[in-house]
Amino acid sequence: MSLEITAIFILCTALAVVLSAYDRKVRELNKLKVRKQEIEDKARQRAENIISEARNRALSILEEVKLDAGKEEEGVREKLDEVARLQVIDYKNKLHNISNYIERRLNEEADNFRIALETETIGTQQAVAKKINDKYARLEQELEEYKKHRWEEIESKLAEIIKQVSQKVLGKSLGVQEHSDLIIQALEEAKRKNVI
Amino acid sequence: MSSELWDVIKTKNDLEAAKEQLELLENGLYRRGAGGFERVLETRVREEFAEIIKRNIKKVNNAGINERNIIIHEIKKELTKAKMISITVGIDLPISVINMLHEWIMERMGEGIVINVIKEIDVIAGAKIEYEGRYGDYSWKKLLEAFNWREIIGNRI
Repeated sequence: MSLEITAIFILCTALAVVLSAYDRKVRELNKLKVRKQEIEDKARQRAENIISEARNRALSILEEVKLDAGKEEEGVREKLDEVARLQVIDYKNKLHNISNYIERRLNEEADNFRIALETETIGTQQAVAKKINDKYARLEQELEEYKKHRWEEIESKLAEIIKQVSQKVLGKSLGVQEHSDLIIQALEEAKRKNVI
Repeated sequence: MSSELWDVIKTKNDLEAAKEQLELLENGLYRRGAGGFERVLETRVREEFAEIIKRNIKKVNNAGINERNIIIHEIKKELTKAKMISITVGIDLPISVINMLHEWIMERMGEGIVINVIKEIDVIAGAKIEYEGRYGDYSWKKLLEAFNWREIIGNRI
């Protein structure tokens, strides 16, 4: 029984200690909270001051800037206009250059095309003309050969015809006496040559 | 006899005819009538040739069959001695020309040569002569062939 009481006593003591500590802590905590609140308030206040100050400064700066901006704006506008004008001029020049370049290139291309076309045409014409000439020359040669061959045939036949006609004409144009004389001449020739 | 014989037999035709006629006479020696010797001599033998035969028979007095036979054989024998000259000409030769040629041949070559006349139009004029294996072309055909007609025509056209 005393043990229990002791234990209870200890426990109660401990409890008391704990409660006391707890209370202390709670109070510290509350102090801290208060302190924190104060700090926060101060900080807030300070921040507000800073902000206010900054705002005022910014406003003033802004005012200044506005003033300057107004002046600058004018200058910028002028500069922009100038730049724009220069840009336009430059753009126009470039356009003009491009146009000239394009025109020049087109003319060059057109000339090249024309030259190429002429060359091609002339070349084709020459090739065709050459082919025609070659074919003509071949045909001419074939014709000459054909004419030569036919002429040789005709000559041969003509020679034979003339010979035969001569034979017939000469034979009939001579009289009996002339034939006799020619036969006697033949006999005399044969005798001279010891045929008879 | 030979001279008078060769006076009459001038051509190859004459020679062959004479040989045939002599055969007929020989066959007629022992016959009478149409096929008899006298009849054949009168009707089947060329007149000039018959005259020669008659003259030779008359030379023999009372010539009988045997004498006639001898005469025929003598003539046959003489005819075997005949030589032939071929003359190729371009026209048909009249008898007068053949006689003239025969005369020429007799004077220059002797008797006993008969002429074989051949007609070949291509000869035109002149003659081709052939005698005892020897040959000569003296025709105008040969002359014409010697021309280069192609050259002649070519130069004129």
